[in-house]
Amino acid sequence: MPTFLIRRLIQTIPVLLGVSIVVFLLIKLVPGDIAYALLGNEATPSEIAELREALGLNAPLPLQYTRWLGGVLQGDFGQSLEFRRPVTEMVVSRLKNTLILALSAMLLSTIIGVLVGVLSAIRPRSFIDRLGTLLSLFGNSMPAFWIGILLILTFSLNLRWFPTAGMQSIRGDGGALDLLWHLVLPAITLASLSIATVARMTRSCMLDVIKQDYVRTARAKGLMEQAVVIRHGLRNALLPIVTILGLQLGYMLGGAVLTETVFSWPGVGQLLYRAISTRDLPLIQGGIMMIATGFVFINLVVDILYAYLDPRVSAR
Amino acid sequence: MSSKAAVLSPNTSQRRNESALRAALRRSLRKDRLAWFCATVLGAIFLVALFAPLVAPHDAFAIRPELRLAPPGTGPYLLGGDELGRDLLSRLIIGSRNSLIIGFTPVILGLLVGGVLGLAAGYFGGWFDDLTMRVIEVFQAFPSILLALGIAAAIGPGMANIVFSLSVISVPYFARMIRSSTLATRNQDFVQAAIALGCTTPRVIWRHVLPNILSPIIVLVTLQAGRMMVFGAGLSFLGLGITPPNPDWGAMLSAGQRFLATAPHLATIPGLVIFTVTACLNIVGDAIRDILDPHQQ
Repeated sequence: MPTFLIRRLIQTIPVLLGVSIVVFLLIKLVPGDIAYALLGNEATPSEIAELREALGLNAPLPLQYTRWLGGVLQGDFGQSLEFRRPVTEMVVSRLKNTLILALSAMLLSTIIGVLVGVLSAIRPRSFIDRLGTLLSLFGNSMPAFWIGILLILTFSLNLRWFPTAGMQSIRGDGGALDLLWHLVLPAITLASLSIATVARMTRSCMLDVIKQDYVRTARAKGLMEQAVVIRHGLRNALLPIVTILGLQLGYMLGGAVLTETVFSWPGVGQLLYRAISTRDLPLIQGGIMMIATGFVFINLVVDILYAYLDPRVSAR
Repeated sequence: MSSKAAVLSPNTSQRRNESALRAALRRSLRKDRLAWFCATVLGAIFLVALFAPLVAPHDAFAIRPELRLAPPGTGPYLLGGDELGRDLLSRLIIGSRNSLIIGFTPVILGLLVGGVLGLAAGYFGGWFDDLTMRVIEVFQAFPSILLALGIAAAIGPGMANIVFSLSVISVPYFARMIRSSTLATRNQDFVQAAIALGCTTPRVIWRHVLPNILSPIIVLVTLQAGRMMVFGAGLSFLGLGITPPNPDWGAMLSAGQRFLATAPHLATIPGLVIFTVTACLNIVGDAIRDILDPHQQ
């Protein structure tokens, strides 16, 4: 186990370096002179020269990268072009809100996804199985932002059960209940795709496990069906499900951009949306780099957890 | 030589399998009415996109202020008017071209580039395989929509840019999948036999490896096309897509969101169209997979 842990940690380093190179090179994709592109037509040559200097564009590319990476390693992603504030500070201050949203969505998709998956697997081709298939199809095929819009239309504008946007009421006390009230629709929206994925994965893992001899033995012993399903079935099917759940959290951090935009949720995603519309590249780079780093570490944790749950993995 | 290779390679048994496969395909497709229906819907939408200017009932760019935000069924507009009084249906039809190009081009480009990379990496192995895999790992360290977003944001809005950014995230996806299929096929006896018989490398790949990894590829393509439709719509929704007044479904949805309270059809109908295309792609993809790989059921 310790060697597996160390090996896996070391493997993370080149991946993160590669990620940083890709994120750094994003700025090179801007067509033409980036300083000119960012400042627009009315910029004077001295302004352009100043921005080029500020962005460190006059140095050769590898040097630019090492300088940038040096900053990144110290948590410095430079200044936002629009807000003139440090990118790190801006992203970190909104990270909490995105995590609240992503973790709630994760909780939703775990509970609903696993439940639907298990129920579908123990009664294949039943009504519940068909319903689960339909749910998966919808979750996989509906763009999340459209689901969000439909939810707003139905539950906010027509039924007036939930607010249309934001994270807190203007006159609210900012308490947990108020937050929860604002959280319901965005969390369902963000969870939609992953509920489908988790349900599908759980169903197929459970079907594989239920076919095994030890499940038949457990049944033959006369154990109650619930005990067979939960203790012998789900427990062994859980391994691949853990992996999928970990990946889902990573995808949610990415998918949050769309959900947060639809619901004006004040998280990193909405900040990125803002940065995209003003082409605030340092902010875009910082946001993407931090989310991707989070994603890499989530995968690392999942792998370690997997090895912990299934000792055969680390033995390999 | 080639005839000997043909005897050793599973071509003969493959031919038998193929006719069996075709029979199974016909049988299950007949049974799977839903998949048939979806394939027909997709075909119809493609035809509409192909002949869009002929099919559109009105000028998709003509502004008629008196029909601004008109609900479906009012006046001459079947699906109502948009925020400038343009015909929503005509804009959906004209926009179908852009949306389908955004959804499908990345799949084709990703398949071509990723396919060549994956085949080469899986077949030759060695340092090239190592290098390709390391690069793929880096690209997979991003939530894919986020990477596409970053690329599209850096290049700036526009259809070609969306297509480019979605292609970039499709390449590693196809490369990884096709590499693993190639690797599995390459180590099978019939491929080894073909190599031992002196078949040239291109011939081994073309005649012996490729036909045997084709079926998973077909499934990957359909499912990836569904994903790209949703991603493309998402990028357009964020304002990275086509420049107005040109329509595409994602941008129409995004514009419609502002009028959700007064004219909900502006956001709901384009979303319904995106959903229909994606759902049909997923259903057809699943049906093909079930036929080609019965274990998955």
